[in-house]
Parts: sequence; structure tokens; C-alpha cells
Amino acid sequence: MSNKKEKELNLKGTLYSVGFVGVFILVTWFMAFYLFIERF
Amino acid sequence: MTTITEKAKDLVKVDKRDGKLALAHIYVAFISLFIGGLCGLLQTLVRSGHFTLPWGIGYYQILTVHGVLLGLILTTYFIFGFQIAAVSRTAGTLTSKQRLLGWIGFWVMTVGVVMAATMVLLNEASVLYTFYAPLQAHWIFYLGLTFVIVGSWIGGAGQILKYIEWRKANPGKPSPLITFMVVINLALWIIASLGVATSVLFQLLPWSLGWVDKVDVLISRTLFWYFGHPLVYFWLLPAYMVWYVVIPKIIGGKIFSDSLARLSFVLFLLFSIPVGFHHQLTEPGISSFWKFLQVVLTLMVVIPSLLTAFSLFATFEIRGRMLGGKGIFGWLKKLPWNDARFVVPFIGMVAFIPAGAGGIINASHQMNQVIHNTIWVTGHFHLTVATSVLLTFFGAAYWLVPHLTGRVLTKEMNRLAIIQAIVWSVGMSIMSTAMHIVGLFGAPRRSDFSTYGGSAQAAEWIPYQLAQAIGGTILFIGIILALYIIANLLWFAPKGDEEFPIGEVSEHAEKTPMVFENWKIWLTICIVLILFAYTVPFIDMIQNAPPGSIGYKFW
Amino acid sequence: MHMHKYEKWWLTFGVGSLVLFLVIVGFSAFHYGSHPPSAKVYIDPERVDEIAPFNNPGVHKVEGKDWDYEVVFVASAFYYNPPEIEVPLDAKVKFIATTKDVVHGFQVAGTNINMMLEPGYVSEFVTTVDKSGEYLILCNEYCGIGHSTMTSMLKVVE
Repeated sequence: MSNKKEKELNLKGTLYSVGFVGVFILVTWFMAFYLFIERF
Repeated sequence: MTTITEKAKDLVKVDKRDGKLALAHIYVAFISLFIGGLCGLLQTLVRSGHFTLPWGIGYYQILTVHGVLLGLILTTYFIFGFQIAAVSRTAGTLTSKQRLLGWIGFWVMTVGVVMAATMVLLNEASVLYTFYAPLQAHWIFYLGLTFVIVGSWIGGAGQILKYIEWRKANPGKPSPLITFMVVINLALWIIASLGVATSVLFQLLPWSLGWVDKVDVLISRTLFWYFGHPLVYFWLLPAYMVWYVVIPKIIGGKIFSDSLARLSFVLFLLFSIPVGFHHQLTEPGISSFWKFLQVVLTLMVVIPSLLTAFSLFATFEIRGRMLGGKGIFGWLKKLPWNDARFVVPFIGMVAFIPAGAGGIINASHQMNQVIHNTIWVTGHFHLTVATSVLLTFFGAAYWLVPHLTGRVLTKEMNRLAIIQAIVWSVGMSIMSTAMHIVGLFGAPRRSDFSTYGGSAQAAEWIPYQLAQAIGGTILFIGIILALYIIANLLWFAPKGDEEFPIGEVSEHAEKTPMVFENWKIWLTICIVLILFAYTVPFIDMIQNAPPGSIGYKFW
Repeated sequence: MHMHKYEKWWLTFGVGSLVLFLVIVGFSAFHYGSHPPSAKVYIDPERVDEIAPFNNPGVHKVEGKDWDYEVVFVASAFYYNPPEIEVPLDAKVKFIATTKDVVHGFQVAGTNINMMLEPGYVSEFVTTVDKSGEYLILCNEYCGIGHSTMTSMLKVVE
């Protein structure tokens, strides 16, 4: 029963939002990593 | 939608006597905000190169005041005020014994604050709030900070006793969510502060009193950072309490999942302590292996924040769709953008995205060399504690203070509160962004204005330091606005009933398993993880200890 | 505990990213030796000036080691000795430093050379200086009233 209700929840916006957060984390981390590699 | 019983629940008031105790803490918090904030403003002005401090006041003296008052006093007092009210509201009025413990704790802490503050003002303790042995402060400074910590244990015991009493009275039932969260935060605080208490009692106090000549610097730093990182989670968790439990109610929605909220708090308890080495990544005397092991544990503590991000977005989306929001982001428009109780903490949540991303970079082992002790770090924690946490505390104070004083947040104050948060965001965006960028160029934190002997590199930093002063000035205006609103809510707002919003769990959520209340399991894992992360390197530090250091007073 | 499908996706993505970060930094540390400065060399902080190599601060060309030069620094409130050094471009340099009194920082602005100096411990970092220029060396750990005047200069010359 609770499973069925769960499927009805539309959380598309949440998925996009956390997706943005994730991409932001990845991009900033790799920028910092690039700086580390590039410097002596 | 709201039934009569729900309406009645909304009006549950925190007992007047508990309210008084909570308010006492909140007073100290906001006085600290004013003095500490003023020192922050002065620091940014000095560092712009266009201002010198009058009356022989030292830069590092006001830096110590800023760090101690805002990092330790404002946070601890506000958190205790909030937690006392939250426990009283959800687990019931404190017994007179529990309340007495609260008051004893309050006064022990406050005596400690006065002792430490006096020594800082007399310029006997410009060692910053991270202590920096073998710089040696006056023993009264260390004793004062010991009082603050011991006082917090006594006051914390009052809150924990209420939880124990509730559990006994309600066998087999999960405790009220926010009370559970309070107890997690106190457990975290007590376990963590044992480290700094050990350092102060067994190293710094005897040494500053002259009973022993020397101090082991690496051990004192390790004990400090064993405390120093969970400290930031002790600040953050009350903000998460507001985000998880209070905000859903304010927007008219439900808590997405009680179990996931408890799970993330348990994960914070487990993973926020054995991670102190990520503040010591560039230090000698600790092997890269043990540093890396704690780096792994540090990134584990990101997971509960990932869970939290999802739960919060989901809470907002479900509510927004209920109100007719269409499309992928239509629900965003349906949120109460004119309600300061929502908007102010919401800005704090947004700030946590760059704050968290920066935190992951800081903790990434050798990458720490890029930013260690640069002003990037200052920019980082002004997003975490001085934006995410502080704006959430402001947002909470806007209903908590009137709830406790029997007044209401008026329309005008609500509007001003939103303006305050916008002012804060503008000031912080300017200051923190400038700090992040110039930190990557190499500009150091905790430093007076300097041209560094006319270095070409240092000359490039000055425009950013000017930007920090502009941001800092805007932030100080933000502090004045916040204090104006708080003063209104304390003494002048119209009498009435302001709700203490406590969310209810969504009907979609599963029943909360009782395993979360099994402290034997969580405390055992917590201690095992700490022993795992610290035992070997700590024994190594003791066995290979170099000759200790005598004290210095270089300020 | 039941989780929404998207939440599982998000956690997989999030935890996956964290694992990726750890693999990258762990691999470059433990495979390529790109460790953060973590030397375990001990010294009596009150006798620094008498003990080699700190009895002779400066730039030293070395033979038969993994690096070409050793750069020895002694820090004390509020000075670095030497106040300026010069190394040739593309040299592999080992920086060796310690402090005679309180905790200091040793940061070469705009580079990855960034380490804590603690009394009783020697800090070391090896790197190849592959960009010429003048780099400010500064103390980035609060050490007292003269903290922000504590500097030296690294010149990388062709």
C-alpha cells in the first residue's frame, strides 16, 4: 500500500535540483584539482 | 484541512519558566553577536589597508574576540536556548530539577565567558580561539573556557534527562523527532568536547600556571581538532533541526520522512568526530596513511547532507505541487516567499550548496595544500556557519523569541526580516567570494594588513581585501537590522500568540523503526570509529614525542 | 527503510562522486607519492641552530638523491632564515624547514608548497619548480604580533 503511494509522488523537480547540486560539486572539485595539478 | 486537535497542538506553548531559561541563553547570544560582529567589521576595515585600530587595540585581540564570541559563545548559547525550548515544547515541560541544571549550566558558562573575555580585553590572551600553543595565554583564560565547557555539560544533562524521562513514560514509542535530534547533538558535543577539555585541563592549565614547564604541541593540536571539527557539526545540526522539523510546518507541508531524518542525524554522530586530521593535513608528525583514513571518514559525513538535500527539496516539491505547482519547477513558485520564517532559513540552505562543495575540496587530502590557512577557508566557514547556520538561527529566532515573550512577529518586522536576509546575502556574497578567490592566490587567513615587503603577489590581493571590507560593512548593517528585529520581538512587539512550528510526518513516510533510539548501538559504533581513527597515530605521537615547548607571549 | 527511486539515484550519484574523489586523491598519493607534507623527523626545538641541516640554512645542491637541491629554512618569530633563495627552473627541490619557537606556517603563495612548522618537528616537501618567477613565502599560521611581516622570497630563475 505504502509502496503504491510512493510511486504516485512526483519528485522530478527534486531530482533536477539535487542533480544541479551534484554537478556543481563535481565541477568545483575538478577545478580545484586542476589548480593543484597545474601548480608546483 | 487542519482539524481541531491539530489546531490545539499548534498552540502548545513552551512553559514560561522554561522559556525564561531559553531566553537567558538567547540574550547572551545576541549580545555576543553585536560585539563579535563589530570586531569582524573592524577586521575587514583594517585589512583593507585604509584603517588602523585606535587606543592601541591589537588586530589579533579583536580577532580573538570575534572568533571566541561568534564561534563559541553566540553559537553555544543560541543552540542551548533553542534546544531547551524545543525539548520543552515536544517532550514536555522540564522538571524543576532539569530546569535547575539548565540554570546552573547557564551561570557556570557565563562566569567562564566573563573570565575569558576579561583576559582577552586585558590583552593577556590573544591566542585566537584555536589556542595555538605554545603561545601561552593567562591561565584564567583557559580556566574560563573550561567553565564554558563544563557548564554546557551541566545544562546539556538537563535536556538529556528530559528525554530519558519521556522514553520511560512512553515505552516502545519513538521520541519526538526534534527531541531525538537534540540528544544526538548533545551526545556529539559531549564526546567531542572531552578532547578539548583534556587538552585544557591536563596540558594548557598546568603549563600556564607554571606547574609544568613544557607542552606537547602536536598533541594539544590533535586534541583541539578532535573537538574542532565536530564543533562545526554541533553548530550545523540545530540548523538541520529547523530545516527538517520546523520548515515543513511553516510551508504547510509535512516532514518527508521521520526515519531518514533520524538516519542522517545518527550518521552525523558517527562520522563527524573521527575526522579531525583533515584540519591537520599539512602537519608533520602524522603519517599520510592516517590522514587519508580520516579523509575517507570525512567524506562519509557528506552522505547525511546528501540525504538532507533530497528530503528538503522533496518536502518543498510535494507541498508546491499540492498547491497546484506544475511542470518541473512550478512548485517553487508556490512556496511562501513572503514569510520570513521560511525565506531566511531558505537562503541559508542555498548557501550550503557552495559551502558544502568548498568543504569537500578542503578535506581532499593533498589538495588541502592549495587552500590550507589561506583566506579561502575563512570564506568557506563564513558560508557554512555565518550564513547557513546563522540565517537559520535568525529565521528561528523570529518565531522563537516572540513565542517565548508572548508577542507576535508583525507584518513590518516580517518584511524587515526578509530585507535583513537579502542584505546579509549581498554582503556575504561579496565578502566570501572575494575571500575564496584571493585565498586561491595565496592570501593568508588570520593576518593583519601587510604589503609583505612590497611583494608583487601581495599587491594583487589588495583589491579583494577592499571588497571584503565592503562586504563586511554590509554584513554589519545586517547585524544591526537583525538586532533591531530581535529587540522589537523582546520588548516592543504587540502581545499575542506566536506559534512554535513543529512539523508532522508525511502519511507517505514509513513507520519509524525503534533502532534509532538504541543508544548502545550508536554510541558503541561512535567510540569504535574514534578509537579506530585515532589510537595508532596518537600512540605514535606520544612514543615519538620531541622535547616539549615552553610558553611564549608574542603579542 | 524504503526510499524513493530518485533518492536512490541521487545517493548512488553522490556517493559515487565521493568515491571518485577519494580514488583520485588516494591514487595520486599512494601510487604517485603526491602526499601532503607528513614528515616524521624530530628535533629539539631549543637546539635547532646546532643541528644539521639547520645549522646551515640556504640552498644546497645535492648528489645521489631523488632531488637536485635541498632548501633549508629556519623559522622563528618573526623571520625566515634565509630571507631570500634562488633555485634554477625545473630543479627538483626538497624543502626542509622547522621552527625554533612557536607554530609557524610555510606557504609559497601561488604554489602547493604549504606546510605547518611545529616546534619539535621537521617539515618536508619535495616538488619540481617548473615555472619561473618570484614567489612570496609567508607565514600563514598565527604566531604573534609580527605574524603578517614574516616573509621570505623564492626566486625560480632560468
